[in-house]
Amino acid sequence: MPRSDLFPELAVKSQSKPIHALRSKDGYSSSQEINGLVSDNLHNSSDAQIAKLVNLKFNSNAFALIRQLSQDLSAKETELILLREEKSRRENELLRLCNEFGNLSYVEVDRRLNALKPEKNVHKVVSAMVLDAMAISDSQGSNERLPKDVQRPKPQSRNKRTALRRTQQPFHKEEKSASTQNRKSLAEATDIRSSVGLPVSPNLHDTQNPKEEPIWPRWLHWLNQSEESVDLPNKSTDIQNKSSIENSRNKSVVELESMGDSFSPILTSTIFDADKFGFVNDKPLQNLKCKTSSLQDMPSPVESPVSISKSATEINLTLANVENSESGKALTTLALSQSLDKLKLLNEQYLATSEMHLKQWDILMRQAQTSGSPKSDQDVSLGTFGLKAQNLKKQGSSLRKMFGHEDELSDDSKSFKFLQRLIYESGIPPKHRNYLWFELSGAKNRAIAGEYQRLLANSQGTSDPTLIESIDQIKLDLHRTLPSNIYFNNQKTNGPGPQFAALKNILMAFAAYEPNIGYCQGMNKLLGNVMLGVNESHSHGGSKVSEENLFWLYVSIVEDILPCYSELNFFHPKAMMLLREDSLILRQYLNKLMPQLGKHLESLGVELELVVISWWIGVFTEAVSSIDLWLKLLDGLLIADNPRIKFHAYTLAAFYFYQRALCGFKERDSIYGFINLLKTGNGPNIKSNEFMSIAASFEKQIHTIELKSPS
Amino acid sequence: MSARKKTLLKVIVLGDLGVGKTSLMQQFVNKKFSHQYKATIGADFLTKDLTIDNKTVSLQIWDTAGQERFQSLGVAFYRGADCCVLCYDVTNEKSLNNLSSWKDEFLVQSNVSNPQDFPFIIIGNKIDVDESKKIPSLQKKLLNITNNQLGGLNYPLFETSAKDSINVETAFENVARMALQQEELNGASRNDMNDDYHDAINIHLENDNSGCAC
Ligand SMILES: Nc1nc2c(ncn2[C@@H]2O[C@H](COP(=O)(O)OP(=O)(O)OP(=O)(O)O)[C@@H](O)[C@H]2O)c(=O)[nH]1
Ligand SMILES: [Mg+2]
Repeated sequence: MPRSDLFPELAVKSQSKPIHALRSKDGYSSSQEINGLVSDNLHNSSDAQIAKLVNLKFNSNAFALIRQLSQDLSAKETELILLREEKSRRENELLRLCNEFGNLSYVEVDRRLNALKPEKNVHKVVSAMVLDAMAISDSQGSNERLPKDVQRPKPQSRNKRTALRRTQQPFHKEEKSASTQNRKSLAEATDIRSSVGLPVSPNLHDTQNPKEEPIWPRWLHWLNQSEESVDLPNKSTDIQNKSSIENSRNKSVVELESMGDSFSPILTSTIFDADKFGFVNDKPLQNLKCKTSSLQDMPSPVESPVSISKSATEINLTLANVENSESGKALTTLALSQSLDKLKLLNEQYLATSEMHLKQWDILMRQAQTSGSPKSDQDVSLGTFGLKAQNLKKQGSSLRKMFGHEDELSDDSKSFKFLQRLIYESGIPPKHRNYLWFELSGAKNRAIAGEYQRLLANSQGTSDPTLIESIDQIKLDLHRTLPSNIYFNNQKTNGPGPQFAALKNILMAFAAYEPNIGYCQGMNKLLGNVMLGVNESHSHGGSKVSEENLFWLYVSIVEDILPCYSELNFFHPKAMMLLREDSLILRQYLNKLMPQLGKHLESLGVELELVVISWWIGVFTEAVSSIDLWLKLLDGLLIADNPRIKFHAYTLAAFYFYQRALCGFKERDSIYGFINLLKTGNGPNIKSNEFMSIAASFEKQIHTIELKSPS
Repeated sequence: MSARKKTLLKVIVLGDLGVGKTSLMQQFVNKKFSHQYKATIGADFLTKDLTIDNKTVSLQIWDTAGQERFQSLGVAFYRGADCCVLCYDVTNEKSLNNLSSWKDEFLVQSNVSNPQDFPFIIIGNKIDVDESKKIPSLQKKLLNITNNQLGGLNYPLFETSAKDSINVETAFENVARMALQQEELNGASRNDMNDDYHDAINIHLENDNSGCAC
């Protein structure tokens, strides 16, 4: 049997069955009717609203409400159980079939499924969803009740997803995605639907006709249907899950954090109260901030489709802040919607878009890895991607083909664009990060076996005065590097964290490797953040990076990725003056592209150059507050045509997002206060993809301006 | 507005990497010490209002990066300074030996009108540490340096601990007083800080471009 036939058939089969099973019984239509009314956001309502609800819908009998709630809970619970069962049954069946008929390994299954051509207009559908959602959340008051028969997606639908993920058998990763990918052959709508973890309705295509309730776009109906289609066979399924509902808001946070496949914070949550990157909340630093009142007029996000998908932490932070942080409140509520309702919508869409991106990444990676392996392509001996990303653009480079997306993107330049577009849209997902960083930076080709150990030994017993000076400086900076992060500083014992030694070794080895550059303050921050990114990738199943490889990655970033100034390395002592000249050019750009801000800063006598240079020397670690965003900036640098221009573009983008705040300050001190706030990591959140697209547009604009050397 | 009438005093804090400049400023301005300060890149800026001889002044303190390669950035903000604080670390002899080069660098780049009597103040930080860790025969060396390298001028000298908050307040009150004198001395020639800044920027930018031939 040809394998290609196997899969569509399978997919259809496995899809239709469970749904029928689920829909076959329907004993609770009446409760279903008010289901949405009761469980939806009741916890957010005021007492008066609840009283009104009890009056109107339950004949003033509060017990009826409680009963209804309890019923809803058990309904959800049943739904979960059914879905779990169904899920694992299908998964097993699929794998069994593949093994039996196709003699395929799990890896192969996964690859086959991913090779199915993705729908061309996935993008269209997603942006339509997004636009719809924006329209809705704008037109609906935050606490407004929805029409009775049109339920909005509930928090439970996300929990359902969490539950599904949690109960998945501990198969290999490949298996898991095999099962989620098996609907690929259906319409993109199905695809998206499954990507938000919902069962696929067999008559999905019927629901696409436009005579639906006008306010709610059809994708919401798909979501709703799944909830309606669930039967409640077993009333006695008790409220075992009370606490899970109580925590439902927190849960969605947990889930976003576990977006990766196997994220298990090694140190993070177990020992300390730290975030996913290992940062322990450092209150003392937060107090250094300038007047928060002035931060309130932070730029509100551009309401564009891209603004929807956001990094997990941003949502997390917002939720957390809305709930408990006073100072955060002012900052984040502006950047995001005011209501949790809206947040939930965004959350759903976030999941949809990020899953879509993840799939695209998986496709790309698989493609790259198969075509890049020497077996399939003789003239590739450099590794998978070879040299730097730049090489991918060279005409006739066999490396470029690896980015090809067989049919759609046979053209070489298109394939590189595919990579670029993915990077700009979503950044490199954690699980592919380590691999891609290592490849794209060119570290793979720089690594010389044994060299690192030699350098390290050299630096340790050196008598060279310049090297000794560098090492002294490194030692002074080590404990001032990410001091609030548990990987570098163990707050409990006040001793070094687990990665302190690696930080030290790599900086020292680099000073020995490039004595002319030695050590420059700022390197520690760059390396520290790179290490955080590598950690995160690793905890998402990304490849393990040894200290030695980390060194080569760092070397490549410093020497090949960061801008050069008159052929001087970015961190070269003499480059400092050239950086300063470049900062004068930036001032010109700023005045041209954001004249109002330029004038404002100038009228207050702000030393723009200083701000800009400290952003640059720290490779933007002091310019943006979120590590998630920073990692994406680095991703973007790895594939930059001209890193120097990229630096300008990032800087301008940062100013763009801080413009409103900065223009609101009437005194220079407040401006500096704000800049300091950014350094402590307590600045406003910026959505990664917004930042990237703004930066891209600036990049285009300044590309046309000839950079004149100022001497 | 009364706030506008406050005398603005600009103070530059210089010294080698890690001598404790940031810690000193934090201790003075925010009254606390933390092991979690990050190394300074470029420069940081803090303000503190205080009353000196019944006069309210606003101290603008520039906390600079100590690494030598950042010195060339000093031009961007040394201008218009009313007082310069030279810091060393009592456990680090090199930081002591570098005091004079910090002073020279400052005078060159700030282009002050009265280099001979421009107010400098010297702070030796970290006196809380164990005696055994301190520079051996510190006083003698210090004397030697002030006499031979700092032009024998009698700059006020304070030994402080940013960690244990020893002498920090006193030192910065002195800074403010000296800065105020300097400001009054120059006051007639500049009415508005902001205008002064603008001139400064423009002038030194031109200087620099011609000056850098590397
Ligand atoms: N024992 C002791 N340690 C101090 C004192 N002041 C600062 N330190 C420590 O010295 C180190 C450097 O302090 P910083 O204040 O960051 O030094 P800095 O001069 O600002 O350094 P750069 O910003 O790199 O130029 C930190 O680890 C501080 O904890 C002090 O009074 N006593
Ligand atoms: Mg400092």
